[in-house]
Amino acid sequence: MLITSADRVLQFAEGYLPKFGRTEANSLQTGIDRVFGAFADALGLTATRAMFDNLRALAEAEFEQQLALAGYLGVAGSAVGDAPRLAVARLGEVSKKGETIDSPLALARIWTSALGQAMHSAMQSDGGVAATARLARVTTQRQLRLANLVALAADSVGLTTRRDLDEAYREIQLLKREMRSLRKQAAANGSATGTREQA
Amino acid sequence: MTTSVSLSEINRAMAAIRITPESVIREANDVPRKIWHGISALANFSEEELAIATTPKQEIYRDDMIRLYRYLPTVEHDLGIPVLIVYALVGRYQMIDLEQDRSFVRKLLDAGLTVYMVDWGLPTRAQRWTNIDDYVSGYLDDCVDVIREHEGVDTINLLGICQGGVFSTCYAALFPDKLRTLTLAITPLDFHGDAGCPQPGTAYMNLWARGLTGEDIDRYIDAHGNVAGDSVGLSFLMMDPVANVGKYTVDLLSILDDDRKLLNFLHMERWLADRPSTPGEVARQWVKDLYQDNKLVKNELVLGGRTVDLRNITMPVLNVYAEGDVVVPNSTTRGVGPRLGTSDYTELGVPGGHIGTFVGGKAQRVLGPGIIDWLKARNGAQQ
Repeated sequence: MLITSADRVLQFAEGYLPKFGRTEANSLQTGIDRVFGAFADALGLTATRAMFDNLRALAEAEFEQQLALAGYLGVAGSAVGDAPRLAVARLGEVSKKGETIDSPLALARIWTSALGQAMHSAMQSDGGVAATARLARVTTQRQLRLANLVALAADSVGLTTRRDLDEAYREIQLLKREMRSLRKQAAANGSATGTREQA
Repeated sequence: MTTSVSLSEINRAMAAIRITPESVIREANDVPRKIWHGISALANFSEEELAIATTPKQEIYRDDMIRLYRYLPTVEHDLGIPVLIVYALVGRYQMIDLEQDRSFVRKLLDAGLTVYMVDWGLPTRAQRWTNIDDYVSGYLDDCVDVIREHEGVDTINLLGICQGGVFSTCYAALFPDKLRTLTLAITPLDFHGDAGCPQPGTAYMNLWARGLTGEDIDRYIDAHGNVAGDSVGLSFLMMDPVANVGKYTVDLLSILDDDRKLLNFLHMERWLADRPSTPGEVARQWVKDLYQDNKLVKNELVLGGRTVDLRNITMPVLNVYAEGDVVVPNSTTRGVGPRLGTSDYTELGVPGGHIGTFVGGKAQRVLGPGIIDWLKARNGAQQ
């Protein structure tokens, strides 16, 4: 089947690829959680349960990312489908001017130029921008869920997480701003030479 | 979108192709020769030949990861025109001094200007919370003060490039008394200037940013902390993936037997490979406040509690744009004069694309002299 539009590829991906029975799995998970959640927590399984939840969320994000990638590649594929027409048009222009292409490399350049033009048309279209945005969005979501999972694991064994580090850096940055402000005030008042380190 | 091609169109196209077995054999023989020459040249280039940004300079100030350099003079006649060059965060400053014979910095020095340059360095996770105000009212203002003190002057000339031009614009609006002139090069100012007049292959950053929501950006920064240099590099590659594939295949093949061009290629690759990360808070503000909400030209951008009002820019302004710029399309940078507080606003177009402004041969013939003459005129120096 010749790929002619990103939408068709996306519909194919959304409609026919397996979805891990997500709805059923979610219902089952929710039910188990409501019945046994408090009991499991009492047995000290809070962290394990949270990690299991995050693992499931990560798997979902992974799947969403694959779908988004399929959509993105579908848009790119539509450009490949459109490029021959543009290449023929360009060669027609060359012919019209009475010029000829006698080098395989020159012909390859005409093809890549046509493909590039088709790619721009596809990627700058509303569908192309939406596919790019979706891919960026779900990739971020996957990264966040992976980070959550790792943070949970680190927390469970008492390791410092990236969030802890970020909080420390935030404090340092606030202090730096305050120091800079005080230094500028002092310099403006002519009461201090500042702390610049000059080579 | 695929539309059918008529038989007559195909016939006309085929008529243009005159590839004969002889021409194929000739080219097929030529390719291995070029490849062998290229392999030999690539192995034999010395580190000195591959070095970029070789103009001698001296560090005169440092704070965190940033460094302020003063380039050593190349001529005896000092015009007393101090210029501070501010490059973008998304690339390294070496672009302005990539190759000795096409160095923008050397041109300024050879004209007798006193050239300073701020190197933003390589931000790490420790700079996660550094925001645009920290760069503008903090690091940049400190650098300007150091130069004023060093040169014994009240005002200096600021020259901002691309993202550095935006920082310089903000600085000029917040600290107008410290600047004699403001020069902007390939600087996005009206971030929605591309809307309504789309050009093929241009303004991808603008389109992508507007395709996302503010929440998407927040989540991205939360997930990644800083925006990795590799991610920035990838986004530039994806602005023209086909051309970039061609660059490393067909285009590279055609220059393999030309040592000079091959060296130019390697210099550029060395620069491209050294892409710094962008601090998370800078990226958040950059995309949300500028690309998405276009706050700069609306006079709504707030830095450190102060509004950046372009009407405070009362010093002379030179706005340099690249005629073929696809990263910062002309519509996003030109025509901002009426929004500024100055009556001395000049635009200078240079041939070529975004990066070509500073490395292209044609652009160099216009860029250096154009900026030097303009600066001399505004600093009371003789032409």
